[in-house]
Amino acid sequence: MPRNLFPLLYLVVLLTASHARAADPLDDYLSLDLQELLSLEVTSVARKKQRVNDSAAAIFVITRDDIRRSGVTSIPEALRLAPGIQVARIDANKWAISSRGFASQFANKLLVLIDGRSVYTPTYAGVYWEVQDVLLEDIDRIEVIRGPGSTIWGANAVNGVINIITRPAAESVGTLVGVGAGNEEQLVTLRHGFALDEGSAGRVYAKFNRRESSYSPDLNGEAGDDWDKTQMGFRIDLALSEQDSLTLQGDAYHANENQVLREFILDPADPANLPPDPQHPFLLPFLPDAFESEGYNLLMRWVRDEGDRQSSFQVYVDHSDRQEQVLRQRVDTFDIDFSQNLKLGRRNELVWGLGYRRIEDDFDDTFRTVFYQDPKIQELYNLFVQDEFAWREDLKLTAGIKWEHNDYTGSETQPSLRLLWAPDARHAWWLAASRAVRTPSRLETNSSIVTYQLPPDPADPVYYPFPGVLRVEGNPDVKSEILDALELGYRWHLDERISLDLALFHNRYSDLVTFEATGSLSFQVPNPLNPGEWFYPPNSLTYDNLRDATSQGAELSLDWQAHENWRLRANYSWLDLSADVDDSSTDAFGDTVLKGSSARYQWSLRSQHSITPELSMDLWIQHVDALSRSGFSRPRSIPAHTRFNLRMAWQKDDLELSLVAFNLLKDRHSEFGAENIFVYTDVERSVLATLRWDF
Amino acid sequence: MTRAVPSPSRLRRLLPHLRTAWPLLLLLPVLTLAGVGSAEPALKAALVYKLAQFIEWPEAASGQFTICVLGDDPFDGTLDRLEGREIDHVPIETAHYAQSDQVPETCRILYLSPEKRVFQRQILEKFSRWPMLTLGETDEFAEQGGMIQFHRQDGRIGFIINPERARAAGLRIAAPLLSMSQIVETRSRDGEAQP
Repeated sequence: MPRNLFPLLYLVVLLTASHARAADPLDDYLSLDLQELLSLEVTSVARKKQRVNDSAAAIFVITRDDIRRSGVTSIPEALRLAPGIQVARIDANKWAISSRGFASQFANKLLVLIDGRSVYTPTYAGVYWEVQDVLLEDIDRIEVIRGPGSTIWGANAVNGVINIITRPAAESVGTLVGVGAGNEEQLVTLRHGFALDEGSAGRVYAKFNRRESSYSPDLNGEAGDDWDKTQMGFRIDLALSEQDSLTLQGDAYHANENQVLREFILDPADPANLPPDPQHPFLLPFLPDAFESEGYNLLMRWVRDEGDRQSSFQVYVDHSDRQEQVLRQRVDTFDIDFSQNLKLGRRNELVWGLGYRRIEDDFDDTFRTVFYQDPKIQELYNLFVQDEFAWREDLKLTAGIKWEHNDYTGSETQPSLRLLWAPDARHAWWLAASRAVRTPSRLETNSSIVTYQLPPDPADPVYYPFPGVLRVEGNPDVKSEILDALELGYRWHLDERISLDLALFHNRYSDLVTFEATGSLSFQVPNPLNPGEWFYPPNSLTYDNLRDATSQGAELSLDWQAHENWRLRANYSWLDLSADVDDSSTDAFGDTVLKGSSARYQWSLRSQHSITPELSMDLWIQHVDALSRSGFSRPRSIPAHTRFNLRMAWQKDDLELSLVAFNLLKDRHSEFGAENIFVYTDVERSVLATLRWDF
Repeated sequence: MTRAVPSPSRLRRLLPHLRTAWPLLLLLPVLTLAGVGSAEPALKAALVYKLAQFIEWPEAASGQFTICVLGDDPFDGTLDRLEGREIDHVPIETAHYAQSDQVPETCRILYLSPEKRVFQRQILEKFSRWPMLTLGETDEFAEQGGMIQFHRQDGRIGFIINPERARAAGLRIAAPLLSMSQIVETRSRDGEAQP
């Protein structure tokens, strides 16, 4: 645990609390006369918030209220609220989350930000979702942007950007106490927000979550994936002057996680593994892995708002430490960014910015996992500029380009062009063409990972009868994956009550990463991916860029306020993806996985019903199409499934009591297949009762 | 599958967390020190209350002084805390509505949430003859036919008033309030001033 952060946290809290005001500002204000009220300064909203209706991108906003009424207790589960996002739970602490295809345990084409801090891991460019957390009650909104967002956000924003934004401290003044208990999880939440002098405010929070084990068909019982996490953090917003505001925030967490590894391959050269078990030499069929994962971050953001010019300067540090049997890693990130919005004349609004990121990682090599150039320091630089040009009153053109430099592939440029046509307040059309890249990860460039055990080689007198292993070796020459995307969107407000949002896309991917065989062994073994078939296994596998893919799809969301106290929301998404390896490639199965691991269609329906001012009932049905093959190294087909959640809540004054039932329709169902080193698990039906006191 | 009540061994497993969570205890004094309330919503609620003293409604209605909010609450609940106070010796009550056709004629004040921006002009048109003070905070609220617009400038809130609209609805705005405000007239969609 980063104990050195706590004294700092405490100091900050004490300093701010000593300035805290004891009085209710409303009473204060009411004691002043009108003239005096008009002379008061108010806290400035930091950045120009783009209205969803005005943006030329497929954006969906999950609000704090949406999250509360869904009953979910984590960010990955909340993402199920957005259309076109495939959220599949692999086990109690792992998720495969993707947008517009390419679902996988190690899905790598999303950029995820929490208050401007990038949280995808540079190790494999995916996200350790279970440790990405904030106090859900203090989320202002989650902006889910499907499609490329690289021009502003940068590399990895290929298939989408998930932007988690917490509310300013001034909006969370008061104390919140929450406790919840159910058959699959227990939680405790504490937050205290306080107003400071002159429009400044702060908050501190702490939370504890415990999740119970799910079911594993591999083990015919408990999956051994229970885990818990303790997290605390703070945020302070200071109004420095009329124009300047400063935000200081930080979080620290510690998680005790469990998972069961399967077919854990042992090193035959290690005397500790002798003598081998005659049943399965140098292989543990199942190995429970209890590991710790912890981290902290500290962020400072300074914003100056001069009306026609807004400048923002941000610095953060992020530390994570994760000690799994298969991978022991520490990653430290330092990031510094500057950006500016400028109004140029009446028609142009320019945004530009530059940034620098330094990532230092350190891996403990094991027989199974080796990282070369360890520890390694990576540096990234970027520069971007984008102009929004009001061509006519109803026509807006946005053009931008981002230049980025990374240590693996050098310079990358990511341009985009967007057009928004809003003939009146009720209709808006948009069109976008953009290019985005995903730069290689640490795993793809310099690592060596054991994936399968091979039978002993009869021709090798030195090592016979010891089994061999198949390794996937990193390739320092691997290139960036490229996406060229074309998107079309339409938004329609029939009246105050009904609105519709439609997005269509056509994506062309090139240089997608493939697994290539290097040489082959002289004897045949059973093919683990195709039972019944024998083949000559490769010496090793490595990464290359020998695949192209195309995809098209549509995402539709509808919002209907059917009655004053009854709101209906519906989402539908369709995806058609085809991948094609180059003739020179030996990657025989990747195309099938890419096609088979993403749902062809998904739909959901939510009903939010306020029965009385105190009592509310929320229903949520979700359907996900069958996956013909999830998982690269161990195929699992997932039947189509429908989830049904029900939430009843009673709220009176400061108190809220809620009861949520998740996955009511079935005892358990599968959502995704883990890669071959982890056991398969199923999601079980669960209930959770929560009491929340906000005063 | 699970036991809701922690067994002793589970409690032992929780102990390390208590070790890491001890700094929470240090927060206890802070809980008693700090105050409540956030700046902007409360200031707006106070402004609604104060400016009502400068308005004269057509008939001296009896019963309740109803302040209505249409759309998402921009006051974060602070407006509702005015209930129990009085304006002109009439007790205040607040009401929230999701749609404009639910708004009753008994509202003395209607605050239009920025959420209704897209339909603002037509909503204001619909209520233009009702003896109801319309308030809002979006750009061009007053020019689109709203009576008083809360306007942020240089970090302060000011008023933009459309007195002609108030007059048409039979409301009188006292001179001191007008003198503190910027005055505009209704403009149509293409920017022309309407007679």
